[in-house]
Amino acid sequence: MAGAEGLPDDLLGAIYHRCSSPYDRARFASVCRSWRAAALAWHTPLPALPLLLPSTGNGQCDRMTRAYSPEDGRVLGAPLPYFPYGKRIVGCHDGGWVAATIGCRVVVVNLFTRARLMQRDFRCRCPTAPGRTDKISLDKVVFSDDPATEGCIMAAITSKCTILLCRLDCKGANGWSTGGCGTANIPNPVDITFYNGELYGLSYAGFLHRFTIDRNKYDPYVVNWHCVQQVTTERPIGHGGTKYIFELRGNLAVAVPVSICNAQTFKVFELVACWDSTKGSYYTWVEVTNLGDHALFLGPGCCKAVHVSSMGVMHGVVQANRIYYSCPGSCVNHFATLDLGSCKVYCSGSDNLQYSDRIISKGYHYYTYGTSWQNSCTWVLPPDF
Amino acid sequence: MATREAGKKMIMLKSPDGMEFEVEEAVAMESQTIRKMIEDDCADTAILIPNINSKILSRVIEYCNKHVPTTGATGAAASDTVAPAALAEDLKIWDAEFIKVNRATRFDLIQAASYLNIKGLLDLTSQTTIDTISDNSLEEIRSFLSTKNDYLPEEEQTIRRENQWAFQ
Repeated sequence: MAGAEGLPDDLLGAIYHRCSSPYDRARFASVCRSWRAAALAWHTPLPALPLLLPSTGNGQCDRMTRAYSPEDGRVLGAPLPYFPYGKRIVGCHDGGWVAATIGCRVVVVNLFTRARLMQRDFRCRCPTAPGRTDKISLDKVVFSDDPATEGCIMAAITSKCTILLCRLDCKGANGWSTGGCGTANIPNPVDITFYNGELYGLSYAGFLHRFTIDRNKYDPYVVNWHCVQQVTTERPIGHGGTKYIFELRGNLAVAVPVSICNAQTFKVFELVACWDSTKGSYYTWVEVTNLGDHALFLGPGCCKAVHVSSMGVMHGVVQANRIYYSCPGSCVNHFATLDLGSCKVYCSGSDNLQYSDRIISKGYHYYTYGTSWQNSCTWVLPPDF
Repeated sequence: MATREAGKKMIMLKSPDGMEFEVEEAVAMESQTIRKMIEDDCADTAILIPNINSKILSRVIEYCNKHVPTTGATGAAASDTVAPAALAEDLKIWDAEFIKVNRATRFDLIQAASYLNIKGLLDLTSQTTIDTISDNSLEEIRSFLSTKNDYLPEEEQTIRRENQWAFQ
């Protein structure tokens, strides 16, 4: 017998290890000193799984926002430590970082530590036709690295200036550039990602491009991209325009929507290097029918393959080899509803599709309202616990 | 003494407060610790179970009795007539009733399950504790676990602020 609570330390540790969710672990450690000591002593890093977080673009509504933890199977009771009220979340990175935007203003903040890295307005430097706005609005943001590290580059899909690049640690006007309005010879990508330090974009038609980023040797803060290269002539086959590009088990991969028996789901393809005596070496897309230990989280501003620990599978709702996606939708009465405070979400699943070679997907469909503000619901990646 | 009764091998378990429990060997072998003793031939006479009083030991035996695999000679009839799924469901309901005990008993059961190495019972008792943590506010957790809050007020404040979002 040891400890005021009557359980020896090793048994407290055994119980602590059964806490499959970081939320349970945080609760465990809050109980009292001896439980906290056990939590510290037996702590092993637990990768935090993404949270579904709505942003409405309306400050009043955003104050009611609550995140949904699929791992915990419920909407969190308290708000996250920080929220960029009134801004839409258009990008996220591991450790709780998000990029949020309103008009041409962009902030990069951490929802858990409250750290703020950048706030700036982006205005187009090209000659603007009279009556046309010079504001650049961002649709999707990705980061080359952890945003807090020196030299991290933010890349964004813009509404009219193709790709925007920005050094996060540069406060001056030179720290960012775009492809220019209407000058670029590639279609604006529908999704982008950094992979092995390089920027890749996927066009609406499904072609993959690599963007070569120039770092000015006289002024390291100047970043620009000059060369666009089409990686392969092949395209992954799917329907519709909402495509996602991400890293999966060390390879570049895409998810494209397909509809099977009126149920929406996704096909996943990996980029694989091949060699052929006539063609030489080339890249091709190979369909992935099993995500292994990973679960894929897709949504506006986030696409991420996350390793799901075998412990989480025991009690949690999140399972490996599943796709969890959020997308705009309309009211469908027979689906389960989640109330995220500022936004309602309807859940759907493709579980009824009994295809052994198909990855099962679960959808979170959020309501979108009129033009005064726009709901969006995306995945954010909390820090490890 | 290990005895034979109606073809079943019996084992005698003794608690430190002097109570003796005669159980079937199969039931006792639900405990990996006892199984090892029997297999190593250390169980010719009654087995003394240290640290576990008769009240807890009787509950542990009750659990093992219920959970002993029913595929043997004694359980053949039951498994013939009841579907395995229904049996598992029945066992789940029984477990839920079984674990409705106060905190002290539950913690004693955790320790007994750990010492006797009974995985099912350890899973059940630990999970019940985690469920308490999972589904309640901090005050409720502390009250259910009869745990004294030994944090200083300022520590308490920091912990609440840091972990607020993890609670309901």
